[in-house]
Amino acid sequence: MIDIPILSFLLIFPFIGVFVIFLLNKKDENYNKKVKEIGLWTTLINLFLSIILLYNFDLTESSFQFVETIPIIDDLGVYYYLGIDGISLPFILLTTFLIPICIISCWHKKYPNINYLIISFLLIELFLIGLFSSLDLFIFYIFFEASFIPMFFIIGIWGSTNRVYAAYKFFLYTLFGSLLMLLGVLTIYFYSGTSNYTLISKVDFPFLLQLWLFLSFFASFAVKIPMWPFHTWLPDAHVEAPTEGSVILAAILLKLGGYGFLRFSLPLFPDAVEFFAPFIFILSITAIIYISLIALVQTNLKKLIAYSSVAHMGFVTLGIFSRNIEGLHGAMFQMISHGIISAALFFSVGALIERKNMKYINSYSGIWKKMPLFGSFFFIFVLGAIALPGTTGFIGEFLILIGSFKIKFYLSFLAGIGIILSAAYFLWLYGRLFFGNINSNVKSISNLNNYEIMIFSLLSFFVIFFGIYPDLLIKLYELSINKLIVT
Amino acid sequence: MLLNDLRLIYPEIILFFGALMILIYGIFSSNDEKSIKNIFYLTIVTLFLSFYFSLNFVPLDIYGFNKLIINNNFSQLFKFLVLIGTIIICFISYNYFDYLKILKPEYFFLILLSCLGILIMVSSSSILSMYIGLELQSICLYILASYRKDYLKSAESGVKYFILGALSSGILLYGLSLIYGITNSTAFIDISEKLNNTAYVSDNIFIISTGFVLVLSGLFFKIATVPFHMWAPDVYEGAPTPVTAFFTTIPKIGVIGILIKFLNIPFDSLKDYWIQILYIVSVVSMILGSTVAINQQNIKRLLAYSSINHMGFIIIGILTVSHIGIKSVLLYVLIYLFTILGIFACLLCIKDDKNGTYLEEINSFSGLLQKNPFLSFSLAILLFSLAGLPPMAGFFSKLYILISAVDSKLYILAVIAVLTSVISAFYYLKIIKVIFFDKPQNTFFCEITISFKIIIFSITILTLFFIFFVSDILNFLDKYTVII
Repeated sequence: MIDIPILSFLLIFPFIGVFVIFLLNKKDENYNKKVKEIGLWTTLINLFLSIILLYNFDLTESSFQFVETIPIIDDLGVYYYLGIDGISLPFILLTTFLIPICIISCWHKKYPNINYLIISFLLIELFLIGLFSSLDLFIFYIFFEASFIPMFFIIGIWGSTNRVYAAYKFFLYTLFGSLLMLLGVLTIYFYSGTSNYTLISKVDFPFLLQLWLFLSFFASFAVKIPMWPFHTWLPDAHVEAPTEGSVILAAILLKLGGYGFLRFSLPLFPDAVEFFAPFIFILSITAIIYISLIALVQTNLKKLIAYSSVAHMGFVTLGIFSRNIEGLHGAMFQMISHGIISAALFFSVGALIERKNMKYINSYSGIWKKMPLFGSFFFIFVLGAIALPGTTGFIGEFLILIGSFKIKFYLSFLAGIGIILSAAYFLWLYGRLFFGNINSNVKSISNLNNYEIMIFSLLSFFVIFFGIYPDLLIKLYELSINKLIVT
Repeated sequence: MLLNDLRLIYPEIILFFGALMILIYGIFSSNDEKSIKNIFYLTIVTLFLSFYFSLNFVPLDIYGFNKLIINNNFSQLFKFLVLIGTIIICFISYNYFDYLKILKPEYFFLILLSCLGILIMVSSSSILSMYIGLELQSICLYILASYRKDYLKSAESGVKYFILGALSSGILLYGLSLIYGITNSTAFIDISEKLNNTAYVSDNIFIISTGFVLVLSGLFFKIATVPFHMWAPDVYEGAPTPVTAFFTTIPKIGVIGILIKFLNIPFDSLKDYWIQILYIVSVVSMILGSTVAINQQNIKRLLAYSSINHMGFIIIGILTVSHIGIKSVLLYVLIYLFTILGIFACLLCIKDDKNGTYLEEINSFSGLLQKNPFLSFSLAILLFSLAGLPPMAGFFSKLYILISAVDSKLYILAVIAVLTSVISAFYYLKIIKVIFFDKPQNTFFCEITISFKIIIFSITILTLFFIFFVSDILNFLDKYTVII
């Protein structure tokens, strides 16, 4: 262990990056390039710092590590209280890994006002790291809600035609959920007299209070993850957001819900979780099957992947609320794996849409003949998404199936149908896009550029690597997750 | 004895003589650029002097003038806020009136006089001085509302405000006379003593409650809460923009100060009654303020409705009748004042290219991001703060109000407050949407002088990084939370 406050540094560097970008001279002709370079370097420093974090992380310790406390609001006893355990570390790594990739991805694109886009990325990184590492309820809430603001701008400014509607819908849905959570936070604060997470986790809430608190947190996390029927903002937000926005949204922001369930709902309100678990199984199964069926009939590329995200998140909630070792491990693994796979899928789809500016599946046909390399990459990602053994997707969904099998056989059976459906819509999508005759749109399509090849090979490496050697990831969160198991 | 009491009203005396000097200077000087500038400086110096004296030389917790006036920490804080707010208003209004060529000595005279009225009102400890202060500031405000004589809407707003304001003052005065009639005293403390006698109260409950409700209606009219809000949107829209900034902040803060005092000192024993009244007023204000604002196209009207919503929030803090509740009101008022002033300062920088008028329609702000990122980001941060999003200052003010509500077990009120703040986030977002997302439609130019830059920049930075000194502010407010 080393003594420097790495978590604070992780929060400070994006902020310094934003500050430097504001100080740059706008009239400089290389302004845009400099902005991107500053953005890239700050996020790379953060990636480096998070790897130091990983290196120094004690795998044999299940309590919080790298703890920092500074009082902020004496009056309420609120502390700037940071610390990570095995649940938060993978998410922090995912964040610091994906944000530089997003910046590289917009390197060759001609976004207007690129400086604000980079600032939004840096801010979102700051808020997300703060969120995953904060152990004080108020600080958590502040980061949680602040993280919508950059996303609102990313969708609203750089989105496509219907962006304003989508940005609004995204913002108001999540704001509504999170304000209800604020009431829950306040109630916890008044009941236990503290907002310190480690102290609160020792408090036993009465059953009735637990039910209400669970619902208030559920309102926020269910919108965020998103569970059926609170998912309707997601397809709009994904379709309208720019590629990088969709990537951050699908890969990281959706995981806030799962993280919230693991961090707050499960340990703090165990009786309420027991009570509500059957309802959540119903919602999860509905999400898996019903949303998969919806995905099957989509004609819009991004919408199809957005719906597939909802279905995959259904697996996550199924795993989390089964609360046995396989279910929880699977849910955690599925979140990280979906973080990589959905990012990859959105990058791929984005690469297509940006080339031809057409969102519909039937606008493309026979791409394989023009872009074989892209076809191979896309195939790896699709295999990951349909949970083929050897990819990351398989580990997560397989574990979740075992976990739900232990609860009830038919849960596992129905979820299995969802996997088959996901194979159906993804393979069908792949067939329609890549095989068949080259149509007029595809004729003039240009091959992948170096930036894209770099991104895709990096992502496909991780898709396969964690599929073959999942233990590396499981070791990270094993001890922290095992504390949540209820036998 | 009486001379000794003058020490209590040093700030008021300074304001009064400052105002008189402006009037005299205005009469004996030509109306050229230089003399107006001198008058402006005179105003600022007067306000600063008044601020300095109220900070240092005013003895606290001593009754003066036969229990007409008492200064305590609580009223001192409101005085500070009013004086600082008025200084900022003077700075941001100079350019506006100068540009319209209607900058006259009267403007500053009226501002100082209404500020004087608010100070008297805040430090009053008797229904007499309370009424005098209230009336003095209201009369100045009627004139200020119709200050742009050549502009139809301004005249209309002045007349509307005058008629309704006079009516409400009449109602207030009638209520006060009933209270005087039944208690036979004017000082708050004596009234409180009389009303502590439960047998006496229950014998005369009808007259007492009538008088009390009438006074409350008059006060609610001044802070524009539902159902006494009808005047606000029209008057705000018609009045010159700096005057609207004045209306939205300074008199409201003063009236909130006296409202808290009036409820907690003379009518302390009738707590159970007025909590119900405030409960309903707060709920209705929050709901109406947030829903009706959605369809507004004029930003001043929108801010009028938003301020109705904010008043609803503030009333939650008042009706909890707890230390934390009053503290949350103080925090809310502090943040509200600076945020609103910052927003108005931003609005006063943007002029139409064609006819040179200041922009008021929300849709006409489209494309501000390209034109002036500084203004657009400042506006966005301030609007997010009004909407109560963390980590901006507005979040902490709303958080504290919610904490005080949950602390007093007012869960339903807290839920309503949360729901309405989601709805109100919608219309703040509408402005941000126009600024950031929409394509430029019309042409305008931004003219930011150095004083505007300082004001907007410092308010924005304070709003953005409020989390780093929220603890100090709360400790600071602790001292000022004691009402009696």
